[in-house]
Amino acid sequence: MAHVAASSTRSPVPLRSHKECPLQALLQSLQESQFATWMLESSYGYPVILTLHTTGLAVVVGVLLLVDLRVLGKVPALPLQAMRPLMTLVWSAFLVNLVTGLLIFVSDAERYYGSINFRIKISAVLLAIALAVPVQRYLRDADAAAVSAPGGVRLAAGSSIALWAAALISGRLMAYF
Amino acid sequence: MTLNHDSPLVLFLHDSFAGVAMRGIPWLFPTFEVLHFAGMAMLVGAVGVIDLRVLGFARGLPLTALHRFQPIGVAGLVINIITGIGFVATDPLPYLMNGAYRLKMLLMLIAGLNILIFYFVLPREARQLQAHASAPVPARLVAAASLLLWLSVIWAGRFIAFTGKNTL
Repeated sequence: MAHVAASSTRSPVPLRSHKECPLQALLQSLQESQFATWMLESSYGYPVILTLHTTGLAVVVGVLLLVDLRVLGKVPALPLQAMRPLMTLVWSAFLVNLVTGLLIFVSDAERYYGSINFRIKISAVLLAIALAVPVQRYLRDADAAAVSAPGGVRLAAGSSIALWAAALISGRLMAYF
Repeated sequence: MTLNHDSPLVLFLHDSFAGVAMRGIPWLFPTFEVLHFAGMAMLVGAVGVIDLRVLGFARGLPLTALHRFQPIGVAGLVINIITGIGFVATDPLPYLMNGAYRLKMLLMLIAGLNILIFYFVLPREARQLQAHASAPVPARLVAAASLLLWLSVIWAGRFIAFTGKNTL
């Protein structure tokens, strides 16, 4: 109790003590930053950043779905090597969503950190992104005449579709709980 | 065009099966939102990649084969029309009076006409590019317009939540 009393002499309205939890302190300082205030108060900051995030989602999920389906054996008339530029598109859109996602997180850090749907979404995205690596490597290295991908790569492509669906569901439901 | 709570279109949508179901079943609206986003990704993925190929991106992909992904785009569009009608029927007036919503419907109409041009006005060769073949200029213009229109549909759709009251 002694340090609480001591700190209250410094600040007339003592906020929560951050000594026990540095993460809590970080989240609070993020959402009290000038940027977070601008995001919440400006009439276009949040809408524009959220719109960019939505566009990025459509490109990442929509284009990766086609790549994953090709790796799973759909439309074999598409040469695997020729699909590679699509991955450049996916990574560019993912970069947009990484940046805009971080900005949205910072604007209301404590709420997002505590949201179960946020945690599910981030876990699904991290896993799905990790699975895009073997899929991309397969596009690069596969024999042009290869009819079907090895089991491991097929598993990665199939799981990628399921994980992006999970990320999309939990991301959307963050608006509710 | 100004509407009020007694306008026939508003009453029709509000009292429709879709409106009654959306208001009566609490989990339906969030579920439709999830589906609307999935449909958006399917539509933009399938249509966008075809448009980009016509514009010269990923030239190694034959357009004839890429068209096999079309059912994904069509499925996305159908999902989004059904779920979209659900959103509006929940509480029609704020949507029908919302500027971003009206712009989105207009953009979708133009995007739809643009697709009809691609399939029924342009010569067949424009749709049957072999790997590494270049599309003629009219096809490129249609593809560029398609890309811009569908992205604008997303942008206008996103702003429905920000330009009005009681809209999501």
